[in-house]
Amino acid sequence: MSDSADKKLRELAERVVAMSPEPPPYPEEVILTTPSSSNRRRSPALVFAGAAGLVLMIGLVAVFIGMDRGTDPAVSPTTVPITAPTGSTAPVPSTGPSTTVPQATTFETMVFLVTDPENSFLGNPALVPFNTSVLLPGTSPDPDLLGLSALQLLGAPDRTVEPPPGFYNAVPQGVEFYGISRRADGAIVVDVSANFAAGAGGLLADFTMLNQVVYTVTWPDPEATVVFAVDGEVIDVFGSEGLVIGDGVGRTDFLDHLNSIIITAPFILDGDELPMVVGLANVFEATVQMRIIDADTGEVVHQDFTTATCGTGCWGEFGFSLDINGLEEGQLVQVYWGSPEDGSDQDVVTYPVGPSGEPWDFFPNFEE
Amino acid sequence: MITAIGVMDNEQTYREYASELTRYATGLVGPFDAADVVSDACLRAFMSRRWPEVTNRRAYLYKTVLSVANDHHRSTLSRRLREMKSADREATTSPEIDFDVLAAVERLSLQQRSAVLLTYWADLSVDDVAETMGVSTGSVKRHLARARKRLKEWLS
Repeated sequence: MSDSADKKLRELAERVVAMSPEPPPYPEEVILTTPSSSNRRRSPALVFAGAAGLVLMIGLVAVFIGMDRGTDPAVSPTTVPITAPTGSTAPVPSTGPSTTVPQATTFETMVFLVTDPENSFLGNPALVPFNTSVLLPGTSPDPDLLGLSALQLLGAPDRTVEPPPGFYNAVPQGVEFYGISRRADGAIVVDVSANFAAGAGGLLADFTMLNQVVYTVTWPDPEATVVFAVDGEVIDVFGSEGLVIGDGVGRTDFLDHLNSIIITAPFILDGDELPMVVGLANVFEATVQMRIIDADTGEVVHQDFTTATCGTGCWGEFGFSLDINGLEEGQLVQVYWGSPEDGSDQDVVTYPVGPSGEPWDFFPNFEE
Repeated sequence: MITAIGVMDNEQTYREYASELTRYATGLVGPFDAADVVSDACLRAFMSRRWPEVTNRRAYLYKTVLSVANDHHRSTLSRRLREMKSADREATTSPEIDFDVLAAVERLSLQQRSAVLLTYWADLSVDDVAETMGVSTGSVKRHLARARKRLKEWLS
């Protein structure tokens, strides 16, 4: 910057500061509040713990169903079952004297769910990921299998599972995800039921469904391209409006049909690592706002802003690392941007703070 | 619960920084709302659970002022200016109000205002501005470049 411009900017800064009023008086009473434990939400992990054993048994049965389906020509051998969270490695019970007893281990996986942001500028939905867990054979599953296991939670045949309040699954009832493989060019091939190609009933719903599915299956490999196939035949045209997807769909292909802010990592309280608020944004001047509020009282616990790597017409990554006290399960994270017109909060994505040290096992449909 | 714990310490901190924070807030939101922003920011900082552990209190307070200013509707300054311009200036404004400067500042986003103020008024280095604003040094440079571009007419 030239000396002249520097001098002018210095002059401007000094002139505006010179208009400063007297500082306000010191606030005499500083009220220190502490979080009310009585308002604290019950841990979803605890809520669902009672269901875990029951659903585990169902899951183990599903393991064998899934294995048996491996002989079906329409089903990939890599098909994994829909199963339930547990906290440990468990042997799969034998069904007969000739059956090898494999080890089934609980692994964390990530599911993207859809939410409608508040005060949405474009009216597009947002994606928010949640950590959950699945029981898989073996002790070190292929990363793609983890992605498929997450998809199978979205395409569960019975749909007895319900997303948390405020979130929904854009994958229509009846759509199923059978298996996964890699093509020679590195693309992920997902074997789906034939009704997948019909989409979700409307252009925006189709985009939302595709985005949700692609984000979910690619969480172990976010750069991957995804191709969908029915009985080995790649689906070229998708949905009621005929979206061409035969060349594969990646995470960035349909970004503009999502909210201007999407979240790419769950907010989990973990004693060993700082919780992160991470995502992608295409917002005015790349400025992303974030606050954490108490779900019951609405009290703002923490507030911050950051700058995405790109903005105002382009998508950029953003991240907040929260090294603060007072975070606890049951609080809500809100990410948004400020309108240049009137400063109002725009495209507000709200999602909950996850429990400490455990996957967020909301999927079993358990009611107290 | 009203407590005396830390109040004296907070009061001392407040007296030490209140004037410069008010000047900074004036640059961000204008002279009309600067005092409110500073009051809110200091209360928020003092009530923060993190406050007792903060080592650089001055930087933390600056960041909080910026955060509170961010919450403050940006339309406020322009609305106040419109109201005062439509009224009788001689009768309703104090001689300290420099409308030309406020109109120039209005052209900048809050982030740009902050970068300009911290760089040219507070004489902070780019690294220190970045730390105070909670952004990268690249963002600071970008804010300054954009501010200069937006103020081209005023600077010429």
